[in-house]
Amino acid sequence: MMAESAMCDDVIELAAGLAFDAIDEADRQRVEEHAAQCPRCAAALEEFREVAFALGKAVPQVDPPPRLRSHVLLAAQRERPASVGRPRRFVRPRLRLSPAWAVAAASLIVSAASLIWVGRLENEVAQLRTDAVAERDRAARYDSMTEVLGSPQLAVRSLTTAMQDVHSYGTVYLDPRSRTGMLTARGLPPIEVGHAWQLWFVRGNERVSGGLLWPDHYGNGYALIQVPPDLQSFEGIGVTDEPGAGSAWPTTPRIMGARLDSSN
Amino acid sequence: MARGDARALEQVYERHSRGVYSLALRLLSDGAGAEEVVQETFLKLWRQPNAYQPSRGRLFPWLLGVAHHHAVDLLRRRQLEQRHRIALLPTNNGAGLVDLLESFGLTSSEGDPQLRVGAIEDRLVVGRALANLPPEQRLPIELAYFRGLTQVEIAALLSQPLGTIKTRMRLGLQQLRRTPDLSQLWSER
Repeated sequence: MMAESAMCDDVIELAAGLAFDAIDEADRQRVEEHAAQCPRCAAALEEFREVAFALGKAVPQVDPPPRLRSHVLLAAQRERPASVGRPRRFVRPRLRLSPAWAVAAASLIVSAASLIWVGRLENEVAQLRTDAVAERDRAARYDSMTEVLGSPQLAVRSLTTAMQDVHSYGTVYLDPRSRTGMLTARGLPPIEVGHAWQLWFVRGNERVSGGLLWPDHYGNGYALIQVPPDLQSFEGIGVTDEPGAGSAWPTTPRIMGARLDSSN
Repeated sequence: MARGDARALEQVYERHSRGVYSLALRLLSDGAGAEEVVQETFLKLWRQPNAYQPSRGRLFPWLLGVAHHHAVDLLRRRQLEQRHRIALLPTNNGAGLVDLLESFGLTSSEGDPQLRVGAIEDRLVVGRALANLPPEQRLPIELAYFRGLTQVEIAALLSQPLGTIKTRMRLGLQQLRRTPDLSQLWSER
């Protein structure tokens, strides 16, 4: 039988995998059963889960499609939580026509109408709430842009077209202090649905992604970008058409660019 | 929720669906799959409200954990079909690791115009913390969390003993846990 400390060491190694869903079911059960009895391993597992949460919380934030909300709520309506519902079984409804039933049916209709009305009101409130959040977020983004633009170390470079017959242009604002920046672009040509424009920092044969920009219908847009810590070692910037999730390396020719090692 | 209050579910959805959807989308790169994960995550809370124990932490980390689990399940089903492609990727010297990170799209530097400022800050904190890890620790962590690979699969992929991968992952997580800025991410609401 494995000594307790050796067991804990083994479980803690597995706990890292459990926090990331990277172990099989048998190991998962072993870790959870052991952690239920062992405060040290339980604490380690909790810490690993906190790291997992931090990674999960820091992904790019994207609004779910509005219709998803009603899908989820409708699906929930069709079920009841296990703790409140008896085991579900099919019971054939018996229909009895009587005056009492007529009254009940009428009151049900009134109740249903009230529910629909309340539902509409709730939808309106939810929409207002969503709008308020969007406005607050927009204000926060402006704050962030102001911070970038107000940096004493701000470097500004104009992006010019790198292709004949394409009249795109833009500007990058780079703040090495906060390692953030902004890209603005105008006149970008149409791209495939689901694609985005990706900004690259160029250093010799190396390309470092700075971020993605989704243009509007007119080919204009802006994006907050990340600036590499050793910005001064990069000689240029390029922008390419890439799949919306971003590429690890440019997969299409540069559409516009700028030099970084000159004052422009 | 435990009383079957649909309004409670609605409020939880309003508050956390964005975070859940974003994580699922990041893992799956597929809107339809991400929607499925969101639905399964909130329905799990609805069907089994007692599965979440407030005494063991806040709801959002629990929801993200459930969403990650669902997303990884979905991802693994897809990866079964793509395994031969993964096997062709470069392996394990230092430069190879960096290439591999890039080939998996695991650069922590991409931006997103839809990012909220708070999320940008979170990403910067996480990106820096990850960047400070040695590649041999960072890679297993990212392959596991963002690509849904098991420790066994990572060991095979990197041609390393399973024990080595487990240890590197554990060391990397312990170092991340000690990063002060990162600790704020789970302490704040």
